[in-house]
Amino acid sequence: MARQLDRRSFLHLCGDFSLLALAPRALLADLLREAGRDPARAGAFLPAGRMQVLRALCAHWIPGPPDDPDPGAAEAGVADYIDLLLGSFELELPRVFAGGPFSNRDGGGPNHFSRWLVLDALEERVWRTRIEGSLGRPEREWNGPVRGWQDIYTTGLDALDAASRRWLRQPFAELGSGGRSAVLGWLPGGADDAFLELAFSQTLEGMYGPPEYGGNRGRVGWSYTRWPGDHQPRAYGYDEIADPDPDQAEAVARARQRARERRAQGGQDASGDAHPELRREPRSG
Amino acid sequence: MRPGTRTPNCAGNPEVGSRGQVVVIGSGAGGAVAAWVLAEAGFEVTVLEKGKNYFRGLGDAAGLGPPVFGGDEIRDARGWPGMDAFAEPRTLRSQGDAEDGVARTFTGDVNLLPGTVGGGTTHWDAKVPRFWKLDLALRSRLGPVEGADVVDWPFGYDDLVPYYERCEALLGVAGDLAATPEFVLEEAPRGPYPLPPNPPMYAARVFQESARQSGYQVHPAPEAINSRPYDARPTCNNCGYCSRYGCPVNARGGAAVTFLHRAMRAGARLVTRAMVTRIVTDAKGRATHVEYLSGGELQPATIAADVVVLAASAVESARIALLSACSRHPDGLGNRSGRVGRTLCFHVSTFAAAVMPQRLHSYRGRAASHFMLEPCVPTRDWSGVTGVPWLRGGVVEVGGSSYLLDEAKLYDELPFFRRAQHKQLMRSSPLRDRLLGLQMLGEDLPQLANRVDLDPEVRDVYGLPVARVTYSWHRHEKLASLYWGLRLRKLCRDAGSEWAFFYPAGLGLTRAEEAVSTRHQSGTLRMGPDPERSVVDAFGRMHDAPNVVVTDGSVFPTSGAFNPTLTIMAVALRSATALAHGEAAARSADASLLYNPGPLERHRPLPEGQLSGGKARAGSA
Repeated sequence: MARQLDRRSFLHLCGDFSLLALAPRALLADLLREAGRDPARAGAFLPAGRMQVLRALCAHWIPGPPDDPDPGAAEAGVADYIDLLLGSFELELPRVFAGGPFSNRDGGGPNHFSRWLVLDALEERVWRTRIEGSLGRPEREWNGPVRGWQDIYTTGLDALDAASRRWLRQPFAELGSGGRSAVLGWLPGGADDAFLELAFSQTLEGMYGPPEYGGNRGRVGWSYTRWPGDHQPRAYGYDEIADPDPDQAEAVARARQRARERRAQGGQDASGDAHPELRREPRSG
Repeated sequence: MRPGTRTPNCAGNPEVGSRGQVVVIGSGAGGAVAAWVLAEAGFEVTVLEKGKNYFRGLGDAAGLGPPVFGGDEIRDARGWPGMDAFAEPRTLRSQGDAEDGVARTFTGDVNLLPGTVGGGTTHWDAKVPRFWKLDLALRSRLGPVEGADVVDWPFGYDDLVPYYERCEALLGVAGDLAATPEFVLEEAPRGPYPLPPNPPMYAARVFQESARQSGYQVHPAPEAINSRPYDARPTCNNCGYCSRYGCPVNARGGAAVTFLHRAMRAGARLVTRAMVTRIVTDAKGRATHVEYLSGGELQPATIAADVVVLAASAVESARIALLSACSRHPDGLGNRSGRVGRTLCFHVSTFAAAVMPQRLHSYRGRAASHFMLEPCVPTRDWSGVTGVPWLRGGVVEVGGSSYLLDEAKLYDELPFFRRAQHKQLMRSSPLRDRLLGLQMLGEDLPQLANRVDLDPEVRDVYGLPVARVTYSWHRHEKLASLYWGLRLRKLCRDAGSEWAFFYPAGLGLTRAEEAVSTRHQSGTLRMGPDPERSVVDAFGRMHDAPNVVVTDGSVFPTSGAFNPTLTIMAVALRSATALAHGEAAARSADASLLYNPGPLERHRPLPEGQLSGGKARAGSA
């Protein structure tokens, strides 16, 4: 395989880890390092400049080191998640719905999550409408014209950067946290509510969703929240379900103590005691 | 009856016609049960399902394979499977808005259910309580309530018992009879459960111990979830992706793996991506054909039917009836009474929670594991002050928690958290890992003004008018929610919480469309003896079109105070038995007609490396 991979196949390789086995080991390491490093990289849909603004925006919402001890949106590759969604139909298999049932994170054989479900004509119409917009096509306007996510992101990111350059004389990506808050919060022209709502919600998906979708790289969104993610086919045993975790002993004792105190205080309050009808007579009605 | 011993078409019922061609609309709880009974009885059964099939091996003699379901929160956030409010929205308005002539106040997810093979049972956590005697006799035992159309069901608890038993045996219900409180057994007498209970979840154990000191009997909820291998399906391994997720290992019973699988083995045909647009009737008003849009390309198609079984869920079945208006049925199929779409019930959600000092790891388990049923017992406590003669809450599911992505979105929606606190909140996890949540799903009294009709403007991706929901809570619901919310909050506080709160229905603390999205719905095509006041008879047959049989939750005369699905299945089994073998057989619940589950099948292991994207494509049935 030549070292000059084009952008399309590069993204494909990065996204579909099951295919990585096809590439030589040294090239893989390079690719993965590049994926984490190059801030000027263009995405599947967004050009390099807008990707920079998007990365800065996501990192502002979910900061990582040095502003926060745990990895944030930049480390998790959240902007890549969003870009891959916007560019879903640029890829050979649209990455809309991952497969199932198992991810092989805890064993169980192949990673079915990395094998994308094939969309039928109806699903493709719906998802293209969402992402690309209705573009004046009657078959996409079952409820009238739709502004697509691609357009919402493009204009939203451009507005952020323009407001930043206009009022603070700096690109948005180079602003500090205070400057970014100002552009997002109160400087005129920066905040487009529809864009920010969509982008924040998708930032969360990229931070906390399964890594196959291109975000949550290294599962950093799961490790700092103590979230195991999908856990099949191992799942959990009786003790893990029914008993407190061993490291919670002190908190359990605190809860017990508090329960005793509350019960002692709340003696006169009858509203929490057994059902009035059941107190008076075993059967009602 | 088993395959091989089947009688010829149209076995017991001369009313049905010569060919015995049955078209079932919907493959969820009601449709799958009916399809199975009718296929076993020798009818030619075709199931039309608008969604895709994400199970593998349905109808396959070799047994079920691993499904496509899995713990993928992004897929869920994207409306998979078949819950896409962008493609198939509904609209909502309140009764007051309707009186003021407001067309709608919201367009989007109004209590959507999954549109996929298996219907709502691809996202249930399979809590399967029986209704109580009281649920079927609310009017005669508690009396009327002003502004609500409280009625009795056309049959009683005892009539349903054999059907409950059969459904429970087939589903493989795990429960604990010894731990079930006496007041529950008086209202819903029963024998032992087919399976022992699954492991208790830690949060439920904490709450159980605390509530016991206040006199409440928190006990294991009956669940259609395998606590040991059953029906050729494995034991549940408590992966946690239960409520809202399809079971990744087929440990959970349901419409598809339990009933549709059997129906297809008995000869029923499943057609996916078949969106029904209309039931066509003849000059006498009887159904003759079903029209649908076929495949992803939505090609118009027609199928002839001697009998139509309508089971698309309460909202969608009403919509199909309304879309089927014609000269014989000018206001919609079977709508002489004007009641098609009316008395829509959703259950009333009251949420109470304790933020605990310790982590409760409720992501391990089956979304919730215990019930508290005292709120199902009516009270007259507040009747003097409020003028509402009695208040009834409903089933309380104990111990629930949230998934990670939901938690992240929740902090952003709540007004008292700031985005700058996001990571700190996610680390300490007050509303997920430390949350001891109770959800009460309360009795929702039927009101004529709560209804489904066709939205005059909004369309879905199929080009059809969407269901418009007009819905407001009755005063009973608001008061019952408040009454029990206060009590549940105190119980939460007493469990040793750092912070306890409750979130009653109808006080405007949450957006209306969220508040009604309990995923429980019933009552739009009600059962009853009087054709002027109900849409179907006691066996689900439309008064005005007797060869249209409704078998989903839309036939419920009242909502009940419990998770509805087991009762949907039991009533569907009764109605389908009447259709296949006549009313007398259904009344006597003849055991020989209620079908044995048959020998357990072999569970097919996961085929290594055979599940590529192409293979995962569904909808090719």
